[in-house]
Amino acid sequence: MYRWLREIHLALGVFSFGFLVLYGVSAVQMAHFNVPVRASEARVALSGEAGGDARAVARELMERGLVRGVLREVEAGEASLRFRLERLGTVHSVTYFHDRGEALVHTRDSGLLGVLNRLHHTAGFWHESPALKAWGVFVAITSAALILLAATGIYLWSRLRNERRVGAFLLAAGLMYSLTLVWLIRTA
Amino acid sequence: MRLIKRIHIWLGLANLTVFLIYGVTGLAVTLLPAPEERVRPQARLELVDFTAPANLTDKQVADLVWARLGVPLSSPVPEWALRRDAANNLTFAFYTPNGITHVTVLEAQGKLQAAYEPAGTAAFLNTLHATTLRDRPTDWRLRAWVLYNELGIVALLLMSASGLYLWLASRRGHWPARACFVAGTGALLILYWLVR
Repeated sequence: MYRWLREIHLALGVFSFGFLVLYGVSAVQMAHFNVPVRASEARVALSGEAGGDARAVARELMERGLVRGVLREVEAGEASLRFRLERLGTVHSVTYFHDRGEALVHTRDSGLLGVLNRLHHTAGFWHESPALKAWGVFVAITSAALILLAATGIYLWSRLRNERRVGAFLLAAGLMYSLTLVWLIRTA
Repeated sequence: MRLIKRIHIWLGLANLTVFLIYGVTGLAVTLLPAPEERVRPQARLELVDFTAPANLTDKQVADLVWARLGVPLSSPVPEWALRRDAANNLTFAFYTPNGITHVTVLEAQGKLQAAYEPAGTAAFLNTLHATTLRDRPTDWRLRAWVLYNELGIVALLLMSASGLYLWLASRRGHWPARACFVAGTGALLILYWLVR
């Protein structure tokens, strides 16, 4: 039993290591500072074939390697066309001017921390993107792993004679402090 | 290595509750339907007599309302969260782990309308796991919880690092652990690349 649970604890821990670090780092960011955002702007002359179609303008910009992401919030006006292209951590706001055949691309890139922040908030299986659906699966696995790591960890500790006294004190103190607060908050 | 192992055990035992809350919250949000399909809880409406004193700013009125309603665990509403509805009434909300209280100041009628939306257990745990020093709670119970939660976040990182060290220091050649590490970290990197 001990050997098996030790193997499971190790396997779950190393499997979910990267995900747990991601959650920890993004939690520190959210608790203590804003994500630094890099903003840039570019004017791009387009071929004119796109006309007044946001999808065609977006495709041409994508084919030139200037933008990537999911097309959202299209607003078609007489003189211009506005839309956004979004992917985790990056938003391109595009304004296309019909008369000049020119696109103004405003980009806000929040980099690695921005992506970690968004991934922290992403869960569930309802997303359209297959990658985000897959992410939802790993969120579920990591969450279940965290519960199992706690359960197996308690068992493994209980078998260590040398650590019983200090461990029991920390466990009791942590449980008393946290559960009392949870109860006080829930019944407030 | 012995000290690292002790730290790993001690952090895990002291933070058991918060780790379980993180895990349960992760599973609960996984099971949520798409945002547009989520059913909001039935709100309980209450009308309270209230007259806004003359020459106060909206923020000062909101602070008076906060003191008047005394919503448990709530903090004064920041200025950026104040709004006016279509009828130009001042509106804002008090967010607490137990639910949301939407307030509309009906100045013409001399009333406050408070609509209280209670939070279910999953929403309660979700808010609890996300309540940190940044929220600057004024209630002592939430301030005490925030300290525990902040410790939990640091402990999560320290336990991940110490756990990895303990594996590498004691059983580096253990192939099932290697396979799990490569599978987990590989999946994370591939997903990062795909969403980025």
